[in-house]
Amino acid sequence: MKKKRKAERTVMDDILYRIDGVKDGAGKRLKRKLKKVIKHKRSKHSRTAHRIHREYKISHRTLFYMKEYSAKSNVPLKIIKESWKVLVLTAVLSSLGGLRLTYIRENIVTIMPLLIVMPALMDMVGSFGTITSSKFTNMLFFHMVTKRWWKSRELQKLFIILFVAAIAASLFIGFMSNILAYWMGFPASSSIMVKVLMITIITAVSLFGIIFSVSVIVGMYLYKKKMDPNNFLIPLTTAIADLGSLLIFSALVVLMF
Amino acid sequence: MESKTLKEILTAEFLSVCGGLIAGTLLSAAIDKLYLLPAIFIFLPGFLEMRGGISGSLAARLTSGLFVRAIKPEIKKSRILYGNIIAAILLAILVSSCLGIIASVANFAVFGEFSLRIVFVAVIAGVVSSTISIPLTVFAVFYFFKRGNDPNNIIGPYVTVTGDIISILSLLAAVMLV
Repeated sequence: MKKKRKAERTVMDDILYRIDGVKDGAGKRLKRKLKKVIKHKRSKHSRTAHRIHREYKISHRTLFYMKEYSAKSNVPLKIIKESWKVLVLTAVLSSLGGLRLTYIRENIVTIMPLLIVMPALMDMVGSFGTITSSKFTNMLFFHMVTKRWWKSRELQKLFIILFVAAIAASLFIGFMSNILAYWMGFPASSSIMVKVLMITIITAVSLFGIIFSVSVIVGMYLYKKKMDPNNFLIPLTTAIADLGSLLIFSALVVLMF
Repeated sequence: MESKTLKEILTAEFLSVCGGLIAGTLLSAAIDKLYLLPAIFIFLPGFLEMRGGISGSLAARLTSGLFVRAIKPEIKKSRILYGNIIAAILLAILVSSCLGIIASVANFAVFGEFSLRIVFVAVIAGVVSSTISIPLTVFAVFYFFKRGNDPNNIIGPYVTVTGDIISILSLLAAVMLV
């Protein structure tokens, strides 16, 4: 019980310490308001929190953290409750991709560059999803993209930059997987090398196209609805990248080998 | 401006794919052991993704806590820090168990082969990988914060690189144990 009280004081006291008003008695008023904010339901808009933010210049992030991890909250339980659904959903989606991969396991095991390139390809496409979503959301917030998004110079520049990066990164992993496989004792073959390179480039470019289109269309829609695209776009594009990379990779392996 | 953005994106991409390439090389070196395990290919992509999801969000939560001064950058008894570590370990066990069960059920439904071995391997690999990667993530966040860097900018590629390698090594350890 004592431990809990101490933890609450660390966040709240820190806020009170930073406010000059604490010396002339205004601190007590602020403390009452902070306790009120902790009690508020998260789903409802808290006017008190907004007032504290305006009057005392305390950021929303600090208030949010104080509310979420106050003395009364069970930290591990809260984190698990909020995270498990999205993590299990990602696990299901990845397993679907993995199921497709099982059909080509003979190819993956016998052609070593394919096995080496697979985790790197998944990482690369996943981080493209995150980069595209967060950059596009930033553009929306800074009004760099309007309703006629296809005419936006900034968006065109972003497309070119990401396209170049996708080609460069896929060439890099394609070459490196072949070099590493050769180093591990896999016999060098120009036809396998070209096929692996084609698989990485086609997978990266096609998924980049899908992710970019989804980010723009869904992002514009969410922004129009006055929602923060950050909260939805990154999990969406990452899920598309995870499942899509395995599906396209498997289809190309079947086609080429 | 454009070349700077391209350079930043390429650096982040380069770092994250390097971890993937190392993981792939380790995987190919040990494929003869892993191949014998039923449903391994159904389980593997989810297991590789899991580390980033759990350690990445742990790092983001700790960074927010450091910035709002709810957490101090030192390994000291703190309710929020311990709560985050416990939650990350429990989530890793929960998600890896789910992955093992899904892989086992899917393997039975599609290929007609039933084996619970993948479930045990999944749980052990989840425990081993979280025991290594979670403390590493906490130390890395505190280290970068103390150095004056914003861990948000650095920890993403760090988690991807270390996560992939640790996941493959712990999977191998689990296969050898079961």
